[in-house]
Amino acid sequence: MTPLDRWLSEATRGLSAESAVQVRAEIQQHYDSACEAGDDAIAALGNPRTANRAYRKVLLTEREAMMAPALAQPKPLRRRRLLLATAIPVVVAWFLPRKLQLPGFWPIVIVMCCTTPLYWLFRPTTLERTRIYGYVLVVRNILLVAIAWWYRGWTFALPLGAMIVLPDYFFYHQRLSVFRKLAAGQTYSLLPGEPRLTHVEAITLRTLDKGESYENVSGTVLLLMVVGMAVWQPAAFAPMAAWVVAAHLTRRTISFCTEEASRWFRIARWTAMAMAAVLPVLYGARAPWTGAVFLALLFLLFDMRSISLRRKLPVAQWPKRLYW
Amino acid sequence: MNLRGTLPTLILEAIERHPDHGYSIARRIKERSSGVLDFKEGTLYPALHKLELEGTVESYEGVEKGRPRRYYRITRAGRAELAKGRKEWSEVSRAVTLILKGA
Repeated sequence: MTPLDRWLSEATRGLSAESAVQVRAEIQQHYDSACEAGDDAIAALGNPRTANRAYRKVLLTEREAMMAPALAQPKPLRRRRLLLATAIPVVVAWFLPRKLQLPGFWPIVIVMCCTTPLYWLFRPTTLERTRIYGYVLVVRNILLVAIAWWYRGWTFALPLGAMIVLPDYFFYHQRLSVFRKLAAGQTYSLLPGEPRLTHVEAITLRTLDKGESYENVSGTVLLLMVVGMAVWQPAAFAPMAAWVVAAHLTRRTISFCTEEASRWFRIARWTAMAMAAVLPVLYGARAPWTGAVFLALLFLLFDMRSISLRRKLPVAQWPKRLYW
Repeated sequence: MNLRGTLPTLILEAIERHPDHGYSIARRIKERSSGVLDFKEGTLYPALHKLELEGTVESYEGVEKGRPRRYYRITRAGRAELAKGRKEWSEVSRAVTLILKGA
């Protein structure tokens, strides 16, 4: 490997295939010209990590290229989808115990339910639309924080604001970054080589295969969230937290590399989770057990794509993580 | 020496009269500053891409001495940005000179 190859391999780390090709071409041209002029070309290029950080800001990264088709062509607007997006939070809120329905609870739920369908109505699928949708999010968040402040003061409004604004900020900037780069004419190749998979399934497969760091981060955040909920309401969430921790540790310590072992592990996992969701109810916990059931549904939702992948892919092509 | 935040303005200045490719832009900035302004060339291209994202620069494929080259040219928005950059720099340098003269 030549010094230029080493420099390029470091500078293009994490960039999409198309971006990496572009960087390689322009740096190679630059390098050739510098060599012809008798310059110390590699030293003049500087630190490849600094260049990589700068490139990631302006060229599509591998992750952004994977997300781009899903962002640019979201699922079409359907009445059922709109209804579900609005109705599910209302139903969950309705079944929450009355002691959790503190002053300001229902105005906040109403604002959330009225603004959620706006995503499908505005359809932020281009740079301009994303910017407009950003204003919608700002207005919604100001409204939510104002309601929280009106009913319960800053001590409630500030943590609520942080909880709402931070994810919005993260996802909005991610979306904006992708659309800015696409608007400047950057391209991406569609995933995957496997025709049976949808694009989102292909992303999941690649994530499972490569074990991207962001996936591990969200797993850790989920783990901490459940443990935090168990500390907050032990009667309702302790069994669920025990299940999450046990599943997490089992995955890390025992290898399930046969289809049979994997199937038994998954049966045991889902049985244990159903028990963790229902046990608090059987023992008459007055805490928000609906939360535990909701959490179980959330885990099921996360696992749906893996279930679909197991169905579509032959076992020989399963990445290690799909056995879990 | 590399003054943070000045590279985009220097690039726009370098391609104001005619389009150029990356290596030549880097050379020209160094030569015109008599070698004082020296930045790492690996960061020149991300800066050019950033200007392209902002719409102040356009790029196109060309050929020089039989070799393919990517040329960059300034846009109308780029000229406005350059004028703004010049004005800001002139104010900053005047202010710094005033302070340092008094020291």
